[in-house]
Amino acid sequence: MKRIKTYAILLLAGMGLVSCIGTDVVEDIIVEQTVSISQRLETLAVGDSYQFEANFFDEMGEQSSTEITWTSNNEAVMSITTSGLATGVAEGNVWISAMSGAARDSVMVSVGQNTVLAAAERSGSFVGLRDYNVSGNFTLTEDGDNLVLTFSSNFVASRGPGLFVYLSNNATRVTGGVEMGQLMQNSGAQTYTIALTEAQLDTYNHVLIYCRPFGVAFGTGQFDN
Amino acid sequence: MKSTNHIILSGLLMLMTSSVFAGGGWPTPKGKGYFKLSQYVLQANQYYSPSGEIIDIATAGIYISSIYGEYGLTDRLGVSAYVPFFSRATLNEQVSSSGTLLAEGDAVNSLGDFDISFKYGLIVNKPIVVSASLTLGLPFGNPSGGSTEILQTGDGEFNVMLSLEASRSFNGGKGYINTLLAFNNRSENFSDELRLGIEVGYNIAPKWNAALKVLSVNSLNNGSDLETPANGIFSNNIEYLAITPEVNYSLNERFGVSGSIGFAASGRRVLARPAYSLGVFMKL
Repeated sequence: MKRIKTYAILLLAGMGLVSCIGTDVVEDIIVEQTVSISQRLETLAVGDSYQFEANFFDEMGEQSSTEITWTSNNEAVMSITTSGLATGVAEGNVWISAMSGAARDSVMVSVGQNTVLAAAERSGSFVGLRDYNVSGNFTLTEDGDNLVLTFSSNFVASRGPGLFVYLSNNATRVTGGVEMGQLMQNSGAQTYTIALTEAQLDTYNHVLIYCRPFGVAFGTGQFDN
Repeated sequence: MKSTNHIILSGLLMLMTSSVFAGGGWPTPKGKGYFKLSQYVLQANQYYSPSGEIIDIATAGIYISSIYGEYGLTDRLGVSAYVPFFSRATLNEQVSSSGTLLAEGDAVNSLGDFDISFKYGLIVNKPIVVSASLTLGLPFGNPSGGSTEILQTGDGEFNVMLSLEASRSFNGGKGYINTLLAFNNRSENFSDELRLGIEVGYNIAPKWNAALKVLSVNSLNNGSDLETPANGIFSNNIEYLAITPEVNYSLNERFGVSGSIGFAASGRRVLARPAYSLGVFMKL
């Protein structure tokens, strides 16, 4: 009986030794530096000017400030300063490029009779990952100084611990992305708002439903436009 | 994280592997009993996703101190209880390799969910014995603990499980085989479960007994992820095939020690690391 008591005490004491909160070291994921042009210009009128903007993401995938150089592949159609101020010169199509080091992004725009900006709204729809149930549509709009992400009434997501909504440039990871807030409810229409200083309409290409405590993406959606 | 969003205690269910087979088809004889003090440890940085794929997660820990007891009220009717009197769930802190704190760790301590079971011998004193059991799962654990409120020491649902067990001994009583068929009716929009199990045990040496337990838990997928009071990632529609080798050593006729390692060979919504259990037991 004495021996069994000793075993019992050792068992209970042993729990204290193994049940402390540990530390997980998360390896930093190194990615290629990228530049992403953020613009809604479709057509620039001859003689008009337009300020292009771009975002730079470093090797950690984090958005950071750096010097970006702008070029036009046809200065006779659209000229552009090194700081991104473009001017329509003659009608035609032109590639505008933004570069920082080896990172580069290009968009094709037109010079025509009128200046036309794309609608300040982007939309997409969710798909579930790893059999998690995530579906529904979303839209991203600018509202004054804010960026507003709206889920449609057909939105549905599996329940999970610590689900958050992110904008990201990766379909399954949130590194370098911006958190829009904790998922308010697992179904139905809902709205998330952040300041435009945190992200702009064209900064990110994906919306993620992400289990932050465990680092698992439940669902993802890419903007269609 | 509202109260409906919590971490899982999928590992907890693995405990059922040991308790659900206790005694097998043989009810505890009148006046006889078996009591066991156990420590259960599961630390997992991998998880079976709903698609069955193993994915990396932040390390979750489950630590349970429990007492299991069974007692024969009559030669046909016995009662048993699983009492996790201390249950702790942890979530490791996350630090980047460059030293940045990404997320703080978390922990919750409380009682766990209790089980009370009644077993009745339907066929006794035959080469093959059969018993039926009614198990009540009592939600005494914390379904939303820790500073993040995502840690659980219980799933927040009351459940009723009906079991049929058939057993026979062989080789002059040195070995035994138990089989299990159980239906677990879960409340609060959790899916019901069908459980199938088999256990083979043998006295491998004087004072030594070894057993191999296999338990398959299958969700009937008749619940709703959107309406369960606890999170859906771990606690609803859990499925796994658990394999648990166990060794028991009798110190004398009344007391002994026990150890087991349980792991899920496959699964969905369940932690994908082995669970370790050590215990001391006493027979009446």
